[in-house]
Amino acid sequence: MRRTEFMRGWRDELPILLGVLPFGVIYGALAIKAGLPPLMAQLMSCIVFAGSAQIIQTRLVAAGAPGLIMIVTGFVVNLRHALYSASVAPHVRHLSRPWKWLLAYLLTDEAYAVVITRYTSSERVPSPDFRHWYYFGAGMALWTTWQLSTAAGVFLGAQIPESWGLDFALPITFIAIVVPSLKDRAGMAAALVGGLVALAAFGLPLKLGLIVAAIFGILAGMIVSARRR
Amino acid sequence: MPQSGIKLWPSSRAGACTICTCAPAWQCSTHATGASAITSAKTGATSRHFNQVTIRLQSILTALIMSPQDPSLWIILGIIGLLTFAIRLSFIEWLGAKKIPAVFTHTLRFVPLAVLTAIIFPEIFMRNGEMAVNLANTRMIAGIVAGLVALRSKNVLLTIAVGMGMFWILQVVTHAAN
Repeated sequence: MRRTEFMRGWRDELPILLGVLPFGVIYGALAIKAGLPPLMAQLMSCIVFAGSAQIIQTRLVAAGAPGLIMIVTGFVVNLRHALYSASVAPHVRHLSRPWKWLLAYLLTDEAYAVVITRYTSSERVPSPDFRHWYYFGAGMALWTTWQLSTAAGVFLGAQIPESWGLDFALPITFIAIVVPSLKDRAGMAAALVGGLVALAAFGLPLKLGLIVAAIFGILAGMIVSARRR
Repeated sequence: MPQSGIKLWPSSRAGACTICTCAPAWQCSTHATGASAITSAKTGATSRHFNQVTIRLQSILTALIMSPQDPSLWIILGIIGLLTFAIRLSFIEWLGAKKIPAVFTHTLRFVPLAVLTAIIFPEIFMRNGEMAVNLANTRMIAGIVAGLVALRSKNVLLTIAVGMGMFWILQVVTHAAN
């Protein structure tokens, strides 16, 4: 039963892995281009284990941003995981602490998407309930892919010459993530204001522009959504 | 990695152990404890030794306000990792029974949109810290094309492929034209 749940989680994660693979490679290559030592680039994928946060960190390192800005940015960008944590909490309440900590570590956007579908499906709850093995399987599939694709990117990053303009993969990747999720006015306002303030605030010292722009963008989104209600 | 001009980790020669100059005073294994006291009478090394310890503490604090270099960068990354883990663990371990306020749920949706666009815009609309909204800006054109592809297809891989492809073609064309 444990084995079947684990394998099932792993299998359900597979289609998503195809989309994760290029991000890992892009992250690894950008980290090397930003001047991170290869070991640090690879271990960041274990320590932080969060795609867009890691890619943003490479840019902050390259720009020479202060540590505090890196920490605050990382915190803000990953804050959405609190939502996932709240959402899966009732389903893992009965587990031991080591299990909870392990599953929390594996809680990413991509694992959450698959796991919550399993937990909330109308399928009869199996007895005994081994669905945490499903979660573990999905999480491990993603973790393994992320580590391997990072390694590939670290390797490639060292080979690709500067003239290829690999750093352009960063805005392009983010465009590919952001544009499809612009579904309503409030979201568009958040994105547009965030972008415009970032242009206006680019000259701020200590790379503060990003955080300032993020705050204005979030406020814009809140104001627009409050007005429409 | 850009050099910040400020040394975050004292070099091994500056403030080296006054007896053997093998390492910074606090790292010299042979003369670590007694050394400064012994030599202080002659050279006033105690205060120098004290200075080195303060510099070490300073280096961690400096890492927070200056751009961190190799050793302190590990600490920064460790903190980011711990915070990320704490966020993921928050409701699973500590706040299980709490309900998230609706405002919070609503607001979090805007975070990735605002942050990612705040990174995209300067990357494609600026060059070398200056606004560059013109047709010679290949990054801007490739970025806009990628945006249109993303809007129509909602396909991440296709968007990256077209965006990078467009960028490379434009690079080659402008090179040939010059």
